[in-house]
Amino acid sequence: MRNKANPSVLFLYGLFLTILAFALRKIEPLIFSALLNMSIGLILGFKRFRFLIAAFLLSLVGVAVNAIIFAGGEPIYQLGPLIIRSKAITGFIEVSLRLALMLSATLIFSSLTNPRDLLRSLESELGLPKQVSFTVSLSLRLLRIFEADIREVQAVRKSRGLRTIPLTPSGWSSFLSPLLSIGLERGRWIGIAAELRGFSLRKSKKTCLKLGLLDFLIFTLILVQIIVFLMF
Amino acid sequence: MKLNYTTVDLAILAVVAALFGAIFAFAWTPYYAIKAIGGKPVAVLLTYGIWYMAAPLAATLLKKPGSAILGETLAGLVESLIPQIGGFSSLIYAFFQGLFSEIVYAIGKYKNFGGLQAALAGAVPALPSILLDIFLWGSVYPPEVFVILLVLAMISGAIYGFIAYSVAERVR
Repeated sequence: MRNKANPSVLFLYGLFLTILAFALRKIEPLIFSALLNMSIGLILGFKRFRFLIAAFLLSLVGVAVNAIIFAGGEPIYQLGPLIIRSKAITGFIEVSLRLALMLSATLIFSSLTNPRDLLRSLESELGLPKQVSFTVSLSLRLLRIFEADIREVQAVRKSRGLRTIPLTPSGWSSFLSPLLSIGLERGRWIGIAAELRGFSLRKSKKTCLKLGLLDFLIFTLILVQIIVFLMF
Repeated sequence: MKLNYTTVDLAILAVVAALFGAIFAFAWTPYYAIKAIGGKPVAVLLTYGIWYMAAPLAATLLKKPGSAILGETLAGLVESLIPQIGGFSSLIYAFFQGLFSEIVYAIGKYKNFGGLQAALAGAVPALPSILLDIFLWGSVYPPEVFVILLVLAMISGAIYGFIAYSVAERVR
Protein backbone atom coordinates (compact mmCIF):
# COMPACT_ATOMS: atom_id res chain seq x y z
CA MET A 1 0.00 0.00 0.00
CA ARG A 2 1.32 3.46 -0.94
CA ASN A 3 2.26 5.78 1.87
CA LYS A 4 1.94 8.86 -0.38
CA ALA A 5 -1.38 10.42 -1.28
CA ASN A 6 -2.50 9.89 -4.86
CA PRO A 7 -2.15 13.23 -6.75
CA SER A 8 -5.51 12.76 -8.51
CA VAL A 9 -7.26 12.22 -5.18
CA LEU A 10 -5.58 15.34 -3.77
CA PHE A 11 -6.64 17.32 -6.84
CA LEU A 12 -10.25 16.13 -6.45
CA TYR A 13 -10.13 16.99 -2.75
CA GLY A 14 -8.84 20.50 -3.59
CA LEU A 15 -11.72 20.94 -6.04
CA PHE A 16 -14.17 19.59 -3.43
CA LEU A 17 -12.99 22.16 -0.86
CA THR A 18 -13.20 25.00 -3.39
CA ILE A 19 -16.74 24.01 -4.38
CA LEU A 20 -17.63 23.90 -0.67
CA ALA A 21 -16.26 27.44 -0.30
CA PHE A 22 -18.74 28.61 -2.95
CA ALA A 23 -21.66 26.37 -2.05
CA LEU A 24 -21.95 26.36 1.75
CA ARG A 25 -24.65 28.83 2.75
CA LYS A 26 -24.85 28.08 6.48
CA ILE A 27 -22.14 29.28 8.80
CA GLU A 28 -21.80 26.12 10.99
CA PRO A 29 -20.58 23.69 8.29
CA LEU A 30 -18.46 26.51 6.84
CA ILE A 31 -16.73 27.05 10.20
CA PHE A 32 -16.22 23.29 10.59
CA SER A 33 -14.74 22.77 7.10
CA ALA A 34 -12.60 25.92 7.20
CA LEU A 35 -11.12 25.20 10.64
CA LEU A 36 -10.56 21.50 9.93
CA ASN A 37 -8.84 22.03 6.58
CA MET A 38 -6.95 25.17 7.57
CA SER A 39 -5.48 23.25 10.54
CA ILE A 40 -4.39 20.43 8.23
CA GLY A 41 -3.09 22.96 5.67
CA LEU A 42 -1.10 24.88 8.28
CA ILE A 43 0.42 21.70 9.73
CA LEU A 44 1.49 20.55 6.28
CA GLY A 45 2.47 23.79 4.60
CA PHE A 46 3.20 26.47 7.18
CA LYS A 47 6.98 26.41 6.71
CA ARG A 48 6.97 26.13 2.92
CA PHE A 49 4.15 28.55 2.14
CA ARG A 50 4.61 31.33 4.71
CA PHE A 51 4.36 33.97 1.97
CA LEU A 52 0.90 32.63 0.98
CA ILE A 53 -0.31 32.75 4.57
CA ALA A 54 1.02 36.32 4.90
CA ALA A 55 -0.75 37.28 1.64
CA PHE A 56 -3.95 35.67 2.92
CA LEU A 57 -3.78 37.70 6.16
CA LEU A 58 -3.23 40.86 4.10
CA SER A 59 -6.22 40.03 1.92
CA LEU A 60 -8.34 39.82 5.08
CA VAL A 61 -7.59 43.52 5.65
CA GLY A 62 -9.14 44.18 2.21
CA VAL A 63 -12.16 42.04 3.12
CA ALA A 64 -12.59 44.03 6.36
CA VAL A 65 -12.40 47.39 4.53
CA ASN A 66 -14.96 46.24 1.93
CA ALA A 67 -17.24 44.89 4.66
CA ILE A 68 -17.12 48.19 6.56
CA ILE A 69 -17.81 50.25 3.41
CA PHE A 70 -20.48 48.14 1.72
CA ALA A 71 -22.26 45.89 4.24
CA GLY A 72 -25.59 47.03 5.71
CA GLY A 73 -27.44 46.21 8.93
CA GLU A 74 -27.84 47.96 12.25
CA PRO A 75 -25.00 50.28 13.35
CA ILE A 76 -23.26 48.64 16.29
CA TYR A 77 -20.18 50.80 16.69
CA GLN A 78 -19.31 54.33 15.67
CA LEU A 79 -15.94 56.02 15.72
CA GLY A 80 -16.19 59.48 14.14
CA PRO A 81 -17.33 59.04 10.52
CA LEU A 82 -16.64 55.29 10.67
CA ILE A 83 -19.78 53.22 11.30
CA ILE A 84 -19.49 49.47 11.74
CA ARG A 85 -22.75 47.68 10.94
CA SER A 86 -23.87 44.23 12.04
CA LYS A 87 -23.64 42.68 8.57
CA ALA A 88 -20.07 43.94 8.24
CA ILE A 89 -18.98 41.62 11.04
CA THR A 90 -20.93 38.56 9.89
CA GLY A 91 -19.96 39.25 6.28
CA PHE A 92 -16.29 39.57 7.18
CA ILE A 93 -16.35 36.27 9.11
CA GLU A 94 -18.19 34.44 6.34
CA VAL A 95 -15.96 35.66 3.49
CA SER A 96 -12.80 35.04 5.57
CA LEU A 97 -13.89 31.44 6.17
CA ARG A 98 -14.56 30.92 2.45
CA LEU A 99 -11.13 32.31 1.56
CA ALA A 100 -9.53 30.17 4.29
CA LEU A 101 -11.14 27.08 2.81
CA MET A 102 -9.74 27.93 -0.62
CA LEU A 103 -6.28 28.58 0.78
CA SER A 104 -6.34 25.30 2.70
CA ALA A 105 -7.01 23.46 -0.60
CA THR A 106 -3.80 24.99 -2.01
CA LEU A 107 -1.78 24.27 1.15
CA ILE A 108 -2.86 20.62 1.30
CA PHE A 109 -2.42 19.98 -2.43
CA SER A 110 0.90 21.78 -2.85
CA SER A 111 2.38 20.28 0.32
CA LEU A 112 1.63 16.68 -0.64
CA THR A 113 2.18 16.61 -4.40
CA ASN A 114 3.28 18.60 -7.45
CA PRO A 115 1.73 19.43 -10.85
CA ARG A 116 3.92 16.96 -12.81
CA ASP A 117 2.89 13.97 -10.66
CA LEU A 118 -0.69 15.14 -10.90
CA LEU A 119 -0.65 15.20 -14.72
CA ARG A 120 0.99 11.76 -14.87
CA SER A 121 -1.61 10.40 -12.48
CA LEU A 122 -4.56 12.07 -14.24
CA GLU A 123 -3.44 10.69 -17.62
CA SER A 124 -2.57 7.13 -16.59
CA GLU A 125 -5.09 6.53 -13.79
CA LEU A 126 -8.09 8.70 -14.60
CA GLY A 127 -7.84 8.65 -18.41
CA LEU A 128 -7.21 12.35 -19.04
CA PRO A 129 -6.59 12.71 -22.81
CA LYS A 130 -2.87 12.86 -23.64
CA GLN A 131 -3.49 16.07 -25.62
CA VAL A 132 -4.66 17.85 -22.45
CA SER A 133 -1.81 16.55 -20.30
CA PHE A 134 0.70 17.52 -23.05
CA THR A 135 -0.76 21.03 -23.24
CA VAL A 136 -0.73 21.56 -19.47
CA SER A 137 2.78 20.08 -19.03
CA LEU A 138 4.07 22.34 -21.79
CA SER A 139 2.30 25.35 -20.26
CA LEU A 140 3.96 24.70 -16.92
CA ARG A 141 7.36 24.54 -18.60
CA LEU A 142 6.66 27.72 -20.60
CA LEU A 143 5.33 29.60 -17.58
CA ARG A 144 8.77 30.39 -16.13
CA ILE A 145 9.97 31.50 -19.59
CA PHE A 146 7.03 33.87 -19.93
CA GLU A 147 7.67 35.27 -16.45
CA ALA A 148 11.22 36.07 -17.60
CA ASP A 149 9.83 37.55 -20.84
CA ILE A 150 7.48 39.78 -18.84
CA ARG A 151 10.44 41.13 -16.85
CA GLU A 152 12.32 41.76 -20.10
CA VAL A 153 9.36 43.61 -21.66
CA GLN A 154 9.11 45.67 -18.48
CA ALA A 155 12.81 46.59 -18.73
CA VAL A 156 12.39 47.66 -22.37
CA ARG A 157 9.29 49.70 -21.53
CA LYS A 158 11.18 51.40 -18.70
CA SER A 159 14.06 52.31 -21.02
CA ARG A 160 11.53 53.88 -23.43
CA GLY A 161 9.89 55.93 -20.69
CA LEU A 162 6.68 53.85 -20.55
CA ARG A 163 4.97 52.43 -17.44
CA THR A 164 6.41 49.05 -16.47
CA ILE A 165 2.97 47.97 -15.22
CA PRO A 166 0.27 48.72 -17.82
CA LEU A 167 -2.75 50.44 -16.29
CA THR A 168 -4.91 51.04 -19.37
CA PRO A 169 -6.27 48.78 -22.14
CA SER A 170 -3.95 50.35 -24.74
CA GLY A 171 -1.04 49.78 -22.36
CA TRP A 172 -2.00 46.11 -22.16
CA SER A 173 -2.19 45.90 -25.95
CA SER A 174 1.39 47.08 -26.38
CA PHE A 175 2.48 44.93 -23.43
CA LEU A 176 0.98 41.72 -24.85
CA SER A 177 2.04 42.03 -28.50
CA PRO A 178 5.75 41.15 -28.08
CA LEU A 179 4.95 38.39 -25.56
CA LEU A 180 2.46 36.75 -27.89
CA SER A 181 4.67 37.22 -30.94
CA ILE A 182 7.61 35.39 -29.38
CA GLY A 183 5.30 32.85 -27.71
CA LEU A 184 3.63 31.85 -30.98
CA GLU A 185 6.99 31.36 -32.65
CA ARG A 186 8.03 29.07 -29.81
CA GLY A 187 4.70 27.26 -29.84
CA ARG A 188 4.87 26.48 -33.56
CA TRP A 189 8.37 25.03 -33.31
CA ILE A 190 7.59 23.06 -30.15
CA GLY A 191 4.52 21.61 -31.89
CA ILE A 192 6.53 20.64 -34.97
CA ALA A 193 9.28 19.12 -32.81
CA ALA A 194 6.76 17.12 -30.74
CA GLU A 195 5.10 15.84 -33.90
CA LEU A 196 8.45 14.83 -35.39
CA ARG A 197 9.08 12.81 -32.24
CA GLY A 198 5.83 10.92 -32.85
CA PHE A 199 3.50 12.60 -30.35
CA SER A 200 0.31 11.68 -32.27
CA LEU A 201 1.31 8.02 -32.37
CA ARG A 202 2.19 7.80 -28.67
CA LYS A 203 -0.16 5.61 -26.68
CA SER A 204 -1.02 6.51 -23.09
CA LYS A 205 -0.23 3.80 -20.56
CA LYS A 206 -3.32 3.07 -18.50
CA THR A 207 -2.86 1.86 -14.94
CA CYS A 208 -5.28 1.12 -12.13
CA LEU A 209 -5.96 3.84 -9.58
CA LYS A 210 -3.62 3.03 -6.70
CA LEU A 211 -4.92 4.13 -3.34
CA GLY A 212 -3.05 4.28 -0.04
CA LEU A 213 -3.86 4.97 3.58
CA LEU A 214 -3.74 8.75 3.07
CA ASP A 215 -6.23 8.51 0.19
CA PHE A 216 -8.72 6.65 2.41
CA LEU A 217 -8.16 9.33 5.03
CA ILE A 218 -9.02 11.99 2.41
CA PHE A 219 -12.19 10.11 1.42
CA THR A 220 -13.11 9.95 5.13
CA LEU A 221 -12.62 13.72 5.39
CA ILE A 222 -14.92 14.25 2.41
CA LEU A 223 -17.54 11.99 3.97
CA VAL A 224 -17.35 13.73 7.34
CA GLN A 225 -17.78 17.15 5.74
CA ILE A 226 -20.75 15.96 3.69
CA ILE A 227 -22.36 14.56 6.87
CA VAL A 228 -21.79 17.86 8.72
CA PHE A 229 -23.28 19.73 5.72
CA LEU A 230 -26.37 17.47 5.78
CA MET A 231 -26.76 17.83 9.56
CA PHE A 232 -27.25 21.59 9.25
CA MET B 1 -18.24 16.58 -32.29
CA LYS B 2 -14.62 15.60 -32.97
CA LEU B 3 -12.04 18.26 -32.24
CA ASN B 4 -9.35 18.15 -34.91
CA TYR B 5 -6.42 19.70 -33.12
CA THR B 6 -2.93 19.24 -34.54
CA THR B 7 0.09 19.07 -32.26
CA VAL B 8 0.96 22.64 -33.32
CA ASP B 9 -2.55 23.75 -32.25
CA LEU B 10 -2.03 22.10 -28.87
CA ALA B 11 1.34 23.83 -28.50
CA ILE B 12 -0.30 27.19 -29.34
CA LEU B 13 -2.98 26.48 -26.71
CA ALA B 14 -0.14 25.77 -24.26
CA VAL B 15 1.42 29.13 -25.16
CA VAL B 16 -1.89 30.92 -24.52
CA ALA B 17 -2.34 29.03 -21.22
CA ALA B 18 1.23 29.77 -20.05
CA LEU B 19 1.13 33.41 -21.19
CA PHE B 20 -2.15 34.02 -19.40
CA GLY B 21 -1.12 31.92 -16.40
CA ALA B 22 1.73 34.44 -16.02
CA ILE B 23 -0.42 37.47 -16.97
CA PHE B 24 -3.24 36.51 -14.55
CA ALA B 25 -0.75 36.34 -11.68
CA PHE B 26 0.91 39.61 -12.83
CA ALA B 27 -2.42 41.45 -13.31
CA TRP B 28 -3.18 41.49 -9.59
CA THR B 29 -0.57 44.27 -9.16
CA PRO B 30 -2.31 46.80 -11.48
CA TYR B 31 -5.71 45.65 -10.13
CA TYR B 32 -4.77 46.52 -6.55
CA ALA B 33 -2.90 49.69 -7.65
CA ILE B 34 -5.97 50.99 -9.53
CA LYS B 35 -8.30 49.88 -6.72
CA ALA B 36 -6.24 51.90 -4.22
CA ILE B 37 -6.35 55.02 -6.45
CA GLY B 38 -9.82 54.88 -8.02
CA GLY B 39 -11.78 52.32 -5.99
CA LYS B 40 -13.20 48.93 -6.96
CA PRO B 41 -15.48 50.09 -9.84
CA VAL B 42 -12.58 51.73 -11.68
CA ALA B 43 -10.39 48.68 -11.03
CA VAL B 44 -13.11 46.39 -12.41
CA LEU B 45 -13.55 48.56 -15.51
CA LEU B 46 -9.83 48.79 -16.26
CA THR B 47 -8.68 45.29 -15.36
CA TYR B 48 -11.42 42.63 -15.05
CA GLY B 49 -11.41 42.00 -18.81
CA ILE B 50 -7.79 40.80 -18.58
CA TRP B 51 -9.10 37.61 -16.90
CA TYR B 52 -11.51 37.02 -19.82
CA MET B 53 -8.93 37.50 -22.61
CA ALA B 54 -7.54 33.98 -22.99
CA ALA B 55 -10.73 32.65 -24.61
CA PRO B 56 -11.09 35.21 -27.45
CA LEU B 57 -7.33 35.13 -28.01
CA ALA B 58 -7.22 31.33 -28.37
CA ALA B 59 -10.31 31.37 -30.59
CA THR B 60 -8.89 34.10 -32.87
CA LEU B 61 -5.58 32.25 -33.18
CA LEU B 62 -6.96 28.74 -33.79
CA LYS B 63 -10.44 29.44 -35.22
CA LYS B 64 -11.65 25.98 -34.16
CA PRO B 65 -14.56 24.70 -32.07
CA GLY B 66 -13.57 24.33 -28.42
CA SER B 67 -10.60 26.69 -28.65
CA ALA B 68 -12.21 29.39 -26.47
CA ILE B 69 -13.15 27.09 -23.60
CA LEU B 70 -9.84 25.21 -23.83
CA GLY B 71 -7.76 28.41 -23.92
CA GLU B 72 -9.47 29.91 -20.86
CA THR B 73 -9.79 26.68 -18.84
CA LEU B 74 -6.19 25.60 -19.42
CA ALA B 75 -4.96 29.07 -18.41
CA GLY B 76 -7.07 28.77 -15.24
CA LEU B 77 -5.74 25.26 -14.60
CA VAL B 78 -2.13 26.45 -14.94
CA GLU B 79 -2.87 29.37 -12.60
CA SER B 80 -4.50 27.06 -10.05
CA LEU B 81 -1.56 24.63 -10.06
CA ILE B 82 0.77 27.44 -8.99
CA PRO B 83 0.44 27.85 -5.21
CA GLN B 84 -1.69 30.98 -4.66
CA ILE B 85 -4.39 32.22 -2.29
CA GLY B 86 -7.33 31.55 -4.62
CA GLY B 87 -6.43 27.88 -4.94
CA PHE B 88 -8.62 25.99 -7.37
CA SER B 89 -11.15 28.81 -7.65
CA SER B 90 -9.20 30.06 -10.71
CA LEU B 91 -10.05 26.81 -12.48
CA ILE B 92 -13.74 27.05 -11.61
CA TYR B 93 -13.95 30.70 -12.72
CA ALA B 94 -11.96 29.96 -15.90
CA PHE B 95 -14.12 26.98 -16.87
CA PHE B 96 -17.37 28.95 -16.69
CA GLN B 97 -15.86 32.05 -18.32
CA GLY B 98 -14.49 29.89 -21.15
CA LEU B 99 -17.83 28.12 -21.51
CA PHE B 100 -19.70 31.41 -21.93
CA SER B 101 -17.12 32.67 -24.47
CA GLU B 102 -17.44 29.40 -26.36
CA ILE B 103 -21.22 29.84 -26.54
CA VAL B 104 -20.71 33.14 -28.41
CA TYR B 105 -18.69 31.38 -31.12
CA ALA B 106 -21.04 28.39 -31.13
CA ILE B 107 -24.06 30.65 -31.73
CA GLY B 108 -22.30 31.87 -34.89
CA LYS B 109 -21.66 28.18 -35.82
CA TYR B 110 -17.91 28.84 -35.69
CA LYS B 111 -18.03 30.77 -38.97
CA ASN B 112 -16.99 34.17 -37.67
CA PHE B 113 -13.94 34.85 -35.54
CA GLY B 114 -13.87 38.63 -36.02
CA GLY B 115 -13.57 41.64 -33.72
CA LEU B 116 -17.29 41.72 -32.86
CA GLN B 117 -17.31 38.05 -31.78
CA ALA B 118 -14.12 38.60 -29.78
CA ALA B 119 -15.65 41.63 -28.00
CA LEU B 120 -18.78 39.60 -27.20
CA ALA B 121 -16.69 36.60 -26.13
CA GLY B 122 -14.88 38.98 -23.79
CA ALA B 123 -18.06 40.58 -22.42
CA VAL B 124 -20.26 37.52 -21.80
CA PRO B 125 -17.92 35.79 -19.28
CA ALA B 126 -18.70 38.66 -16.88
CA LEU B 127 -22.03 36.88 -16.17
CA PRO B 128 -20.62 33.67 -14.61
CA SER B 129 -17.74 35.62 -13.11
CA ILE B 130 -19.99 38.03 -11.18
CA LEU B 131 -22.40 35.19 -10.34
CA LEU B 132 -19.55 33.27 -8.71
CA ASP B 133 -18.50 36.50 -6.96
CA ILE B 134 -22.04 36.65 -5.50
CA PHE B 135 -21.62 33.14 -4.05
CA LEU B 136 -18.33 34.19 -2.53
CA TRP B 137 -18.85 37.83 -1.57
CA GLY B 138 -22.65 38.03 -1.34
CA SER B 139 -22.61 38.57 2.40
CA VAL B 140 -20.47 41.72 2.05
CA TYR B 141 -21.75 43.53 -1.07
CA PRO B 142 -25.41 44.50 -1.54
CA PRO B 143 -27.13 43.38 -4.82
CA GLU B 144 -27.00 46.84 -6.43
CA VAL B 145 -23.20 46.83 -6.18
CA PHE B 146 -23.09 43.54 -8.08
CA VAL B 147 -25.30 45.00 -10.84
CA ILE B 148 -22.88 47.93 -11.26
CA LEU B 149 -19.90 45.55 -11.19
CA LEU B 150 -21.54 43.32 -13.81
CA VAL B 151 -22.03 46.22 -16.23
CA LEU B 152 -18.47 47.45 -15.69
CA ALA B 153 -17.03 43.94 -16.04
CA MET B 154 -18.92 43.44 -19.31
CA ILE B 155 -17.61 46.73 -20.72
CA SER B 156 -14.10 45.80 -19.58
CA GLY B 157 -14.43 42.31 -21.07
CA ALA B 158 -15.61 43.70 -24.42
CA ILE B 159 -12.65 46.10 -24.59
CA TYR B 160 -10.09 43.43 -23.68
CA GLY B 161 -11.78 40.87 -25.93
CA PHE B 162 -11.30 43.24 -28.86
CA ILE B 163 -7.70 43.89 -27.79
CA ALA B 164 -7.11 40.10 -27.74
CA TYR B 165 -8.46 39.93 -31.28
CA SER B 166 -6.36 42.85 -32.57
CA VAL B 167 -3.16 41.56 -30.91
CA ALA B 168 -3.76 38.05 -32.28
CA GLU B 169 -4.40 39.36 -35.79
CA ARG B 170 -1.30 41.56 -35.62
CA VAL B 171 1.11 38.80 -34.62
CA ARG B 172 -0.35 35.80 -36.50
